[in-house]
Amino acid sequence: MSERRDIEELLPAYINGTLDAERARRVEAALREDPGLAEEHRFLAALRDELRQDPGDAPGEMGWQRLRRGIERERTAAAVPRRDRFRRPVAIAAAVVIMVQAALLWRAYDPAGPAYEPLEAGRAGQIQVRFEPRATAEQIGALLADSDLEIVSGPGASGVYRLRFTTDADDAAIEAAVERLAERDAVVAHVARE
Amino acid sequence: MVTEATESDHELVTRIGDGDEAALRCFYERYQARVYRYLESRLNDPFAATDVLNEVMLEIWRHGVRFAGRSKVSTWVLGIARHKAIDHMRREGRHRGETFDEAMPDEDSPSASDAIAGLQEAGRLKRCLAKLSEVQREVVHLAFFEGLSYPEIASLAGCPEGTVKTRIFHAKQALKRCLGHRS
Repeated sequence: MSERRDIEELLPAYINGTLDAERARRVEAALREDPGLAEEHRFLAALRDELRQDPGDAPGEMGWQRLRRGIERERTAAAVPRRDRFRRPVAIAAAVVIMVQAALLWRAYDPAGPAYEPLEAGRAGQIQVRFEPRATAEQIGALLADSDLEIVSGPGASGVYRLRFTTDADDAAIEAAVERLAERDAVVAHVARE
Repeated sequence: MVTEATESDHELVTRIGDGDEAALRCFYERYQARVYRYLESRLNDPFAATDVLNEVMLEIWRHGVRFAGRSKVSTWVLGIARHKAIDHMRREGRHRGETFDEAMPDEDSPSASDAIAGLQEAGRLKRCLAKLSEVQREVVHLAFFEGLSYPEIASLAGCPEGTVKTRIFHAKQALKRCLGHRS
């Protein structure tokens, strides 16, 4: 590597004062002799000054309040007896899905038309899924609507729901849907084909 | 009298490890802006930077007791921030490894004086930084904002010192081109 390139690579460390004495002297000698290098030095010093002047948009007090809420949630969760920790998220997920089912049924309801069909337990599903306990009704509803899926039964004892397509779907479509659902790991805890 | 304001970083972390929330508050006030700036440089997204900052502080709260004192507290904190940033990018499907930029050839050498003029334009530097690769933004931030030495940057970034120098060199050339460009 050329001496000039070597010196150029040392300039940032020289500017932030972290270069050892011997290499600092080399840089200083080069800066005296090479106006181009001196100009590089001026640019990097200006870059450092500009970076440090920018105050940024750190969250400050709001970030602290958010942190405190997170700590409090962890304290509360730690105080819940272990056996109850599973029941509560499953109960919440069950309540969320009941609300989602109701919303989907309401949207599909057309008293004048033949399209309305009540959900029946035991209809064939194509995909099995468990939702994340923290998934919201909005997230689940949007996910199902985007994927042309509906719930046919669930939750079972382990929190599993059975889904099926609202339109015709071949094997490839089912596989693609399973992959898409698996990518949404903020909403879907587990997904598999039936 | 030792107050939280005068306590060293190491003393604060020890108290955080004991579950002292007042110590965490002091620590947060000391480090939140600095960690946020690093995360913003790495993630190029202020909302993501805020989310990951929260994760970093929670991690320190949960595992402050694990700080062994072998490094500076600032280095330890930035290391946690780096891992959390990478985790975030993986979840978002954005982390594609850190070597693609090394193969990029440099074009002709852009003018430093034009680039200095470009620095004076409001917002220009931020826009040009956004165009760098995430690893280039990281080394620029650690070298010029944090003022870390090459060995420190190399240790934090998990790469050889030569790679740090090369990344800074390419980042500098890219910034000069962007800042000096006149449309």
